[in-house]
Amino acid sequence: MVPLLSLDGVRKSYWRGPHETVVLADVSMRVQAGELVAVWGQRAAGKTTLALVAAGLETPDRGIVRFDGQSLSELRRGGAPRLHEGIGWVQRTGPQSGDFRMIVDYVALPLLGTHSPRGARRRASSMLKRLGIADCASARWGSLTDGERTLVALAHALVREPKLLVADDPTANLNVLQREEVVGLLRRAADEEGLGILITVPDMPDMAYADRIGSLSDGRLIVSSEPPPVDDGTVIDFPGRQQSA
Amino acid sequence: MSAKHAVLGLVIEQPGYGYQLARRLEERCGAWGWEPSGVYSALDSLAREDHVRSVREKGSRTTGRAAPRAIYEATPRGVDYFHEWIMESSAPSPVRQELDLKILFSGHEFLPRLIDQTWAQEQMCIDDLKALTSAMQPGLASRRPTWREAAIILQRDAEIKLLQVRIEWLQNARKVMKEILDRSARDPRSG
Repeated sequence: MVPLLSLDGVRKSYWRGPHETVVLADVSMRVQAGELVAVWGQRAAGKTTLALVAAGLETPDRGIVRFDGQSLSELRRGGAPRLHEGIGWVQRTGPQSGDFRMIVDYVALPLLGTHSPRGARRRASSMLKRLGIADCASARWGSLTDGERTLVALAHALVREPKLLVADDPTANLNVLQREEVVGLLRRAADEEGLGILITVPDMPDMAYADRIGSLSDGRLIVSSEPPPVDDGTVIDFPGRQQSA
Repeated sequence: MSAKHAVLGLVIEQPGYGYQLARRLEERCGAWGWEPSGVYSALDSLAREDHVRSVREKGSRTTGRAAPRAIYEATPRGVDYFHEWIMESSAPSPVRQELDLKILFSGHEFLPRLIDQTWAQEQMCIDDLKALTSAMQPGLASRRPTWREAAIILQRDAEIKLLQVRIEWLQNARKVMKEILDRSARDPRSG
C-alpha cells in the first residue's frame, strides 16, 4: 500500500555564518491513512523543521517527501513551497491580520477559493460544532483559551477535509485535560475518517493513543518498533539505530 | 512496593474474586509489572491482617461450579488502614540503572560503545512507551472527565514521564560523550 506520507533520507540544515547546523540528518518515516504518528523531541531538536518538511512547506536539502506517492517538490515544479490541497497544516498562531472579527470567518478562510462566502461559513460552523466549540463561532481569537485556540486551529486545518493533517506542537501550553481532549479528537479523526496524522509534541504524555511514536535527537529519528507478527524463530535485528517508520 | 495497597484499593472500589482482581490490577496498574499471582499473596497477607475477608459467592449453583468462589471484600479496619495510607506522605523511589554505573566507571576508550548503548536504550524506552500508550483508549477524553477517569490519565502520565526523563538524560549524556570524543580527536592530550 502506498503510504499517505513518506520521507526518505531527508536532510535539512541551516547555516549561521560559516557554521552549519544539521537539523535532520537522514530521516525516513511513513504515515498511512488512518494512522496517528507522534514525534517527540527536546527543545531545538528539529520538530518544527520535520513538520514543515512533512507538510511540504520547507524543501529538504536532500531526500524525497512524497504525499500519496507523488514527490511534493516535483508537484511544485520548482515553485515556492505551498500547502498541497490534500494536506492540512495546523497553525496555532491564529489569524495573521485583524480582519477576522469572528472565529467562524477565520475557520472559513481556506474555503473561500472554492466555496461561496455563505457556503464556506456554513461548513466552518459545522466544523466548529463537530469539534465541540460551536460556542466560539462568534468569539474573537484574543478572547479564546489555549485549549479553544488549539481546537480552532484544528478546525481551520480540517475544514478543507484534507487526507493528511500535520500539526507542530498542537498540545503546547495545554493542561492535562485539554490535551486529552485534543489527542482524543485526533485519534477519533484517524479512526473514523481515515485521516493520516503527523504531530510533533513537546511532552511525551501527549503521544498517548498514537499508532507509532518517535524521538528526534541529533538529527536522527528513533521510531517505535513494530511488534513481531508471530514468534517463528526469526532473529529480529535490534541495533537501536535509526529505523524507518 | 508490593501490590498490597493496590489490591486493597481495588477491593474497596468493588469486591471480587481472585482472578477478577488480577485482571482489574492488570488493567489499572499494568505498568507496575506486578505478576497476577501477586494478587493472591497480597490477598493472603491482607486477610491475615484483617484488612479483607472472603465471603462465599451467592448463586454459585446456577453457574454450575462445583464449589462457590471466594469473593474478597474490605473490612472496616481495612478501609481505615487504606485511608491512613492515602493520607501519609510518599517518598519518591530512587531509580538506578546499570548503564549509569558503566558510565561512572568506564574509561575514555569505551565512549564510542557507550554512545551506541545510549541509542539502544533510547530505542528500548520508545518501545516501552509505545506499549504503555497502546494499552490506553481515548474513550476517557471526554470534555468533563470524572475524577476516576482523570486519575487514570495522571497515573499513565507519571509512567510516561519517567521514560521521558530517562530519554532526555540519555540524549544529554550522548551529547556530552560526543563532545568529549570530538575534543580528544582534535587534541589527543585532552582525553
